[in-house]
Amino acid sequence: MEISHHQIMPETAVITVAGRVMLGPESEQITTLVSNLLGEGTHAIIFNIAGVTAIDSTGIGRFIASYNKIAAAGGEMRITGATGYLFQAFHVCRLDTVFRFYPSLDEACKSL
Amino acid sequence: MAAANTILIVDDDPDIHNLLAAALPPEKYMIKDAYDGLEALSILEKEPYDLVITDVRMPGLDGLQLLRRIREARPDAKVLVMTAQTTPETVISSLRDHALSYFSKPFSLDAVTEIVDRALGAPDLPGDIEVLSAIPEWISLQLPCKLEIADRLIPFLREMATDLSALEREDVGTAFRELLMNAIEHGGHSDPRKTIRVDYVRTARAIVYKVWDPGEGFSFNNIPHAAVSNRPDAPFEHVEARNRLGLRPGGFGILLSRHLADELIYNQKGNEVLLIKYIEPVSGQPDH
Repeated sequence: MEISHHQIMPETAVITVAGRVMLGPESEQITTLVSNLLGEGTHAIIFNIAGVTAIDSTGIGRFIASYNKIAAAGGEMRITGATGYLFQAFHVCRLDTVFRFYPSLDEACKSL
Repeated sequence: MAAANTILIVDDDPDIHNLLAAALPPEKYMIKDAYDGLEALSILEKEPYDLVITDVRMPGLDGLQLLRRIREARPDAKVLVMTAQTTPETVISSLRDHALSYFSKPFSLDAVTEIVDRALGAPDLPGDIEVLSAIPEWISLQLPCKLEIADRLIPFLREMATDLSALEREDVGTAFRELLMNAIEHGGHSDPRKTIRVDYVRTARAIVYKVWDPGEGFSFNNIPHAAVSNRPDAPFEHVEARNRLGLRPGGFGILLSRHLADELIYNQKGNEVLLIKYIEPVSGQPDH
């Protein structure tokens, strides 16, 4: 799994996740990064997951943990790049009723 | 700077050597090439390698014979088997002789890099999948209750399902992996002294995976830590129970598996599960 981030506005960060988001210490980086960004004053986090090639139950759980951290801090979370199998995984788990998905980064930004 | 990992690549096709060299740059991987099994054995007698990647079909000593010879000399050696022509027999032979993993040609450079890195990072225990019995239609395995075993086993079983599309194979692999994880974690409490049993059965019209674990089982009425128990309007409901029990993030395994397979059937006790994927009959081919 690869993870990187950049600030697109002073209080808004994009976290780009790619590869296999699965059980193991690698996927823990997602929630650690979210905690760090919130601690540094970031209010809104957009996940770009277009490069994710596989996700399992734990991987999905990392996004729930992230959502809970962001919500507890009064922030906003958006997801972009979830298509096909990836979106289906969130849909089956009924998380598309809670997470806000957008077809592009631009549209995710505009929603904030 | 960490020393480069040493890898011996064994294939009679020079193009494969070139392709793997492109995927495994010399700053990180120190590659040695061999063009048949006997040459590989000769190289391995002189010095050990962190990883051996071998083709199956080669003149002289083929890849499966090479794997067996390596296993006799060095039970802990890590060997990856790659082939352009997967058959159930090559998969079974690779499992019996404890190949670390198995993959098909053609492959993408990124996929190879990922497979190699995972192999290099894997614990030195390639002998932990025990083949209890195996014919192409029915393979029975015994595995220790270690979470990392799932990622090791799945490439082999995925290769058995050659008549599914690549997407279907991924789906079934994901569903099976979730069930293995549940068996290891909840049934075996991730205790490597305990074992689970896995059966792969191929019928004329279906692929069936059976997973048995040594646990007490469960009832669907009493698994508040699993998302399958959530009310439809509360998809996070189980997270609190998981946090209370100190469980890892997740709990979506049964939901995902039900969606990705055609049928999911648990026994009465709840410690044994069948995952069934139907196969479209090939037109003009009689059923068994």
